[in-house]
Amino acid sequence: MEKKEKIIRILYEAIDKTNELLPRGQKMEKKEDMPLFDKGGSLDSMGLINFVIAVEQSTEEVFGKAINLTVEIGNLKEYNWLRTVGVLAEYMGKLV
Amino acid sequence: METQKNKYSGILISDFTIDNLASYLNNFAQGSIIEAKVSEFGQVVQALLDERLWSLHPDYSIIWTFPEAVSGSFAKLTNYEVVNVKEIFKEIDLFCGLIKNASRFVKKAVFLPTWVVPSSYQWLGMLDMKHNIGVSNVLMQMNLRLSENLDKEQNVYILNTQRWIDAAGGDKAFNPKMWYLGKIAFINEVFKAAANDVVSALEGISGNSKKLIIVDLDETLWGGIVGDLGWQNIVLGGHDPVGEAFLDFQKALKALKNRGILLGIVSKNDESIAKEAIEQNSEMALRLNDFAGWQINWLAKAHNIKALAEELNIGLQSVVFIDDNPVERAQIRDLLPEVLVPEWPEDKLLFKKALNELNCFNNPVFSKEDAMRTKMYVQDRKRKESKKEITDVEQWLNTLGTIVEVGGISSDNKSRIIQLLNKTNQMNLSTRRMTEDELSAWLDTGKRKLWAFRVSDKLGDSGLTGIVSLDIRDNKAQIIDFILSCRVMGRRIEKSMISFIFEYAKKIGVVAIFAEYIPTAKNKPCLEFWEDESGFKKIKENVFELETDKTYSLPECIKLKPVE
Repeated sequence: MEKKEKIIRILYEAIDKTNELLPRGQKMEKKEDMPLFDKGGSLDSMGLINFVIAVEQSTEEVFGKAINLTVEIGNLKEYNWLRTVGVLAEYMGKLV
Repeated sequence: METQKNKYSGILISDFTIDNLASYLNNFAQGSIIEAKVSEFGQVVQALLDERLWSLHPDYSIIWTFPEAVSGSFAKLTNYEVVNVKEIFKEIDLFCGLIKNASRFVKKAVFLPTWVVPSSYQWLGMLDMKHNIGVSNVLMQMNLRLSENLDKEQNVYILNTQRWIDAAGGDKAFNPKMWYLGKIAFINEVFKAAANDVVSALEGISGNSKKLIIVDLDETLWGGIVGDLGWQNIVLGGHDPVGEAFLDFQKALKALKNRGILLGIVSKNDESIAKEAIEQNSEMALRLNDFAGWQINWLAKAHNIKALAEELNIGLQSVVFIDDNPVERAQIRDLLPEVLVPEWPEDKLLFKKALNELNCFNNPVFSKEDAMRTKMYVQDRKRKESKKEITDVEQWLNTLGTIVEVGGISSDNKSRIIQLLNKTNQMNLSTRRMTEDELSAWLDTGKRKLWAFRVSDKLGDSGLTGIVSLDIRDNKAQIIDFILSCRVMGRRIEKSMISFIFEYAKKIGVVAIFAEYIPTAKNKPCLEFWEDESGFKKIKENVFELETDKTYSLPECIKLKPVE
């Protein structure tokens, strides 16, 4: 499986896990242009923590390498990698 | 028919971020609708004292704290300062006082997850369990103190946090990142397991836990096909991993039976061959007397499950069906959607684990009647067998020598009365669901009486199985609760209960007794009794009256014994 495909799968699994916590009607869609912590996104700060932790856990399981995305949560006001699923996948590709 | 969903609203109080637990509860997908509101972060004591919050009268509340937040002395202990354990206990006692006060406003249950060793705790090595010194040792004592202090509170339940932590992978249950980013004490698997247990407990308290497990035989209770192999050669027990796994599965079922869950068999087999295996194979942990009933034949399993549930007077929504065959499972799910049909592992070694993971047998009390339940059904089976020999019902009832003992509510029978109030569906006039405190408050208001009825006959003791309550106003009395366990329905107990209250009402000058039937999806048998057999006159839709200037005879087959 291509690296990008694996990363997208990790992100979609994290979306499934996060959706278990989101109210009905605010569930995230599994698509690359799905906003995360950006305009039109359905994640509040708590949702974002849950999503990012789920991604970090799965990434370590799949790639055997820990990545630190939580640092991005601190930079939310600036340009960041947590805008959409696709942007995050691109960023993760550089880390793993 | 679509069954009405239960709705439970609750308040969650914690000194860490508990929103994820609230989210799992709010999104709970099966059966009931759960609402969970989170009180202000970290304001445990303030929330417990907040009258405005409790005036909402939630159905449930979860109060989940760190031990160091409740006890400042314990916090010192975790830093290895010298602490007197008595000081810690004093702080716990104060906390319990707040819980007791708040619990008065909660309709169904207050849940307190046990305290666990904080994730930041620096292990003290071999002194960790040293009496009154080690953190783990003191924490165990704290949890025991909590449990002892709240033991008498009818609606307070201590839940085991360690169980959820173990399910989430032990050490993995704590993620420092979640803590530092969001003050979230545990990973989400812990909250998910907690949500499952809370919902299961709420269902149990509301009388919705499962009551009957129906199992298949071949490849489910034992290995192999008994019809082909003979009872001597089925795979069970012995020095064989699969045989041992089947035996352990049987023992786990037997343990559930001892807790009051009924067992039944639905199997495509020759009945005599199957029964011979159950009685003759020396490795069997379960014998015929462990089963409340069975349908062993070549008919479709859906038909047999329905027939067995009807025979045992258990609604299909209270049935769990366990079968190794995925085709049979799919068919039952399709044809009897009310029945819970769990996915079942192919690997026999996982059967016991799969059974233990079914979180649907949660009952708030464990009564003498629960322990005796299967025995009562076995006795009932014998009763029915003897009925087959006698064609006249009255003659058969006369042979039973039924004794009905009647007495008031007492500390001995209170929990069983509450259990009957909250679990009985079919012969239930008003289907009032009440906590012990609510019932006590109701009885303390106005002129109200409640009696409990115990039934026994020559074949055995059916236990406390009936309740009647009366609300007396001037010279009229209204029957509020008229409840009888389905186990003893149709044995003239109903009429003996009426006969008793008729005599009582007459004695105190009541001229007429009324009963108002409140329909539910399940209590039609009650309406049939009031319309056809009660002797009351229907004066308008669902309202019945009996004037006391007439006589009301006790059925001949019953001996009524008032007890103090």
